[in-house]
Amino acid sequence: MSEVFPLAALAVPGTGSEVPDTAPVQIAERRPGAFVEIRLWKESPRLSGTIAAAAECQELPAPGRVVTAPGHMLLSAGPARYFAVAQEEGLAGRIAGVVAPGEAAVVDLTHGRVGLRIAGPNAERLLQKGLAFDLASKSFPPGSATTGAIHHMAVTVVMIAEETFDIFAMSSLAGSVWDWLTDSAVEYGWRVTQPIP
Amino acid sequence: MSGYRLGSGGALVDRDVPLSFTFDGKSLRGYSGDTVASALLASGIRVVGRSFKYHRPRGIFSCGPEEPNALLTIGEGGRAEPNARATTAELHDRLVAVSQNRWPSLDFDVMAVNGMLSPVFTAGFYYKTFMGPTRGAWHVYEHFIRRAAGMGAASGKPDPDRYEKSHMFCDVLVVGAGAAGLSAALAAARSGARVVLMDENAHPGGWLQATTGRINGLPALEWARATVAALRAFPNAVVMSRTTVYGYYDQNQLGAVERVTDHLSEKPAHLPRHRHWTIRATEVVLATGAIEQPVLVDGNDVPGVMLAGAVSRYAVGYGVAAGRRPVFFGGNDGVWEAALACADAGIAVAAVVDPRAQPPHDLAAACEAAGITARAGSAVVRIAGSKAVSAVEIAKVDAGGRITGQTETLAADICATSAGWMPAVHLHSQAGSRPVFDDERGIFLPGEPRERWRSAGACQGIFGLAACLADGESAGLAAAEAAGFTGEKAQVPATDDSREPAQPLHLRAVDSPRGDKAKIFIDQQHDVTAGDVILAHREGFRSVEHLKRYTTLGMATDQGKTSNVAGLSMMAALRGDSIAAVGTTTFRAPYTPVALGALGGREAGRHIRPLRRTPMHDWHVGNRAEMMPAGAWERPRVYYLPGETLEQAYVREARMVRQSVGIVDVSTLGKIDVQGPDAAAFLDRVYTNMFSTLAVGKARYGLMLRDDGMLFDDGTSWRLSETRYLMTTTTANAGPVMQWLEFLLATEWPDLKVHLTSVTDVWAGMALAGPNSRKVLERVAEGIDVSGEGLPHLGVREGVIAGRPGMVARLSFSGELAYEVYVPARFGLETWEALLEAGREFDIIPYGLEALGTLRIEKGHVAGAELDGRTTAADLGLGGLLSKKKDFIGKQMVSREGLVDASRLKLVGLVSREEQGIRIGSQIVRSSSRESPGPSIGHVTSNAYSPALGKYIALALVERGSEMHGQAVYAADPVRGRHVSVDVRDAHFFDPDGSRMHV
Repeated sequence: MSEVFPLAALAVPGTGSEVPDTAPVQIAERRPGAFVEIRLWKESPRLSGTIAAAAECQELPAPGRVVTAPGHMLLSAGPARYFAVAQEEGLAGRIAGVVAPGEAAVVDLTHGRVGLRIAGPNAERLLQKGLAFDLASKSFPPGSATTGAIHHMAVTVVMIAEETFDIFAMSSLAGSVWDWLTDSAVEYGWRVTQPIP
Repeated sequence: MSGYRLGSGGALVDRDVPLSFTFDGKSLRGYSGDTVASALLASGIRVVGRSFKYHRPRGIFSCGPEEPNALLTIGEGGRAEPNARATTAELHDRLVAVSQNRWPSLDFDVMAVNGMLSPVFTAGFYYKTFMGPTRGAWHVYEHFIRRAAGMGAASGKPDPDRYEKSHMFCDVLVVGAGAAGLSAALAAARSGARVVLMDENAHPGGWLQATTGRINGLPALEWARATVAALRAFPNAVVMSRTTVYGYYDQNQLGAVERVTDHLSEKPAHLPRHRHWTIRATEVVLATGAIEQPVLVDGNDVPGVMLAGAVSRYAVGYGVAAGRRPVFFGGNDGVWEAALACADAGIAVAAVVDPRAQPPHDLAAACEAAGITARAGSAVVRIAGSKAVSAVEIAKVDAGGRITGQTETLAADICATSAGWMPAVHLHSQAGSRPVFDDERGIFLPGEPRERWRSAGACQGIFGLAACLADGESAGLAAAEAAGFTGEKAQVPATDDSREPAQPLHLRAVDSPRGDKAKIFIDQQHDVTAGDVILAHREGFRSVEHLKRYTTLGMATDQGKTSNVAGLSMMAALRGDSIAAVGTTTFRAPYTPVALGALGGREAGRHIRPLRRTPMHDWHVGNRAEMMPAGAWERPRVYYLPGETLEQAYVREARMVRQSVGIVDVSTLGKIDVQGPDAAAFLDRVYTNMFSTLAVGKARYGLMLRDDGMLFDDGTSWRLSETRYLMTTTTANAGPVMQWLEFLLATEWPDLKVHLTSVTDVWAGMALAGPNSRKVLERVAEGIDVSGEGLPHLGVREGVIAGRPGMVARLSFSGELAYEVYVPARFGLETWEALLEAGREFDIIPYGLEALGTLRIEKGHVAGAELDGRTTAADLGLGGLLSKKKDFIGKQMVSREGLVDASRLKLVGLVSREEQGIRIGSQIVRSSSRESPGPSIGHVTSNAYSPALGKYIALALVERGSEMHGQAVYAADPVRGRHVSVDVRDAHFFDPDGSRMHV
């Protein structure tokens, strides 16, 4: 027995359903090594730069946007609030190590989130069944991030690229998110691919 | 039999694709593209249903969503849909349709006897019959009345279809794909705006389907199809047919239902039957068209009486003759045009009857050339027949519809009437704009917009084809520009529609030669007659709102689309007022009926709500746990051994905890990371007791009050560092506590540097409880001294547990020596199994909520059942936790008179004096009499069988409870038939000095 990811028993690579002549939605569990919440009490260029550097990104993202670097992603999560996602572990400690207690709060949410990558020509249409904000690239272009709700479940949504989205939800809801996603994808078909760190 | 399929024509049907279907078990045939109504008419079916109240035979009246009569049950088994409109239901192979509201058959309906009692069943029948002294009679007759009235019945079987919901966003939404809507969508699409065009029909075109005219040289319907193709070529335009926009809500949010598979004989399992769309549009163009209105004539509900436009639409669109000798009647040019279209399609039109003294010469000449008899200055004053029109009586009338000459009888099997077209202003009205009546034109027009919509075409009183196309173009362009796009005016399509219509005569009703014996139905779906409106007027129900409710006019599923105006017109005449003075009711969503399934979507059955599960969920299920809901969570109730009852299982589990050790999944407890320089000060304000004095590495039990002084929640908070706490809350209250604390920080104390994050899901939590719990923990804890001194009561330590980083807190809910172990969630299962393995030699058992509850009740610990929003800290014996040294939320209110009243309910313990349990919810009474239990002095909140005491026990809230100790009372549960004798005592049943957990 070892570390058990929230969707290990459900998002089994190679499984799925098919609909003739329809591109199936590609689904993969995201298994980042770190998912960290950062809240700044006092924003300053120095602090922003310090935190961005600790997260190995160039800068903190603008509201509603994402900043990426190889293996790293910083998302805007609200006023003075960010999520840092990284492939490697231990990011929360590294960020906490560069800020003073009065400057920012750092919370390690790695084990508290389930992540999914959803891709394909029908990915937007699928997510639009649950999300009540406009996912079209004009309103939510690649590199956008926000928080919404799917079937009463809060989710952080990131548009990684055209036809590719990441969503993160509370890990206790992994089964319900999976249930909603695969059920909503029935009309397009869906296929599970290898987990993504 | 009088309707038939014409030898040619019918642009909407494909004669190469024949379809078979049944109606009341009779096999019939139609073509692909037919509606059920067109196929029934083509098959010569005249009577399709029985009316709501009088069970009169009724036929197809219209060809659209306004249909009041042709309501059928379509489909079989769980898919049987009652009250489906035959005029909009698309035919598919093997469709099964059944008529409604008749017994034993449509042809011979016993309940038609109601028709003879019609003088009794007038408006207000129920109010007059079942009010006052005869009110009780309702209970006698209700069953029979409900069986006799009403239309179709639900199948009562599970619906096998899927329904889905989705969201849509666009710059311009165009509702209606008639001439104006198509034109508007095209203009908006050219600007680059994201355009969605929705239409309720299977095919675009609206009334172009009944038009013989041409647009840009093409037959009108072909132009409509070409326009849709052009729209679909735009990457920024979407055209959705079979999609009804049924509701218009605030901030330009609209509701629509797309019928995905209703028209398919084989329903693909992966497709939903209906898809509900929630649309948020920047701008809306309402091109909803107009609805033709009938002329009220004596005998107007006889099968074969139809709207004039419908008769021509069936002929032109479907290649169906509704009858062999139709007579057309009405005071507008459309009646002549409909007659000519039918004649052109090959139908032998008997006559056109126009009350205008001078009907248009060109149309009259065309009719004469087509061999159609014309009667100017006349009206159809009576329609003869019972199950089918057999003849019409015609007479000279004046402009008010009063007979001025002799009657003449014409043989006819169809009487097609038209009082003109009424703009469909339903969505406008739903959007908050009350329609305005145009007295001169005799129509309702949309009111001033209160949302971002504009009208186009017939729905704002623009009726000519060329005018509609031009109006649509302007509206589409204006909408796109209002949404921030720039467009250019394009050339409006050319039409051959050059004639100016003649002045219509707004004749909505004509007198009958039978005088008061005339049978004129205003609202055919609800069997509301002209006599009912006269009665309502006579009895003082003269406002439009009173008229509607007293007579039920316009309250059927068609919402009075062909009856409201006639009813208003009649009331206006009776009052001697204008229609504008009588007013109009507000249209409400939905425009047409919406299946409940579409509104529910997939949120049904096991998808009804999301469930939260702990990291050990699968282990519990795999080890015979019965799971139960706890808030949004699923938690183990008990773990059964073979053959055990629920009580045996939880008693065994609780006993093992007291004897040795047990483990319970507590991952569901709410956990909030409280972080920041002001974290300690913040907790001092929200808890009743002090937390700033808590040492790092220690936990403290705390109470939270609401601002009205009532208990809100309880739990422990652990000080992890000078600036960081881990707050725990009850499972059910985790969300509300988080919201409340966020609210306080955002509104009351924005100056505090505190950040809250829910970390409930970050940690897997498990509690080890029992005298051997320390021994178990010792085997897995690394770098943590778990001895009594190393980890004292309420101590918190971070370290390694079973090889994973985690935290241990010495806390007890059971009253035993106990520890809460937290590890990161993904290691939860591994740690759980490691603890079970470590406890194997102590016969460790997992225990569920029932045993957890039993153990805490034995200790007198309160939980959610006692913190029910009506209790104070003092009520539950926790008054000592209210600090006198500091302020806290709720402090100012906690000492108000009502909260310190000596007679308040107080927490007590109950012990059953009998061999039976004390039910939760039982009322505490003093009397031993089940029959006369006397007043309630309290109620039971929690119960259990106590293995420690060997008795059934309970916690209860009882008036002056602390003074009741030692008294015998009764727990009365009359609903479930129990009256249990109980002793009142202190709530701390077991180990009251707490010695077992301080070892």
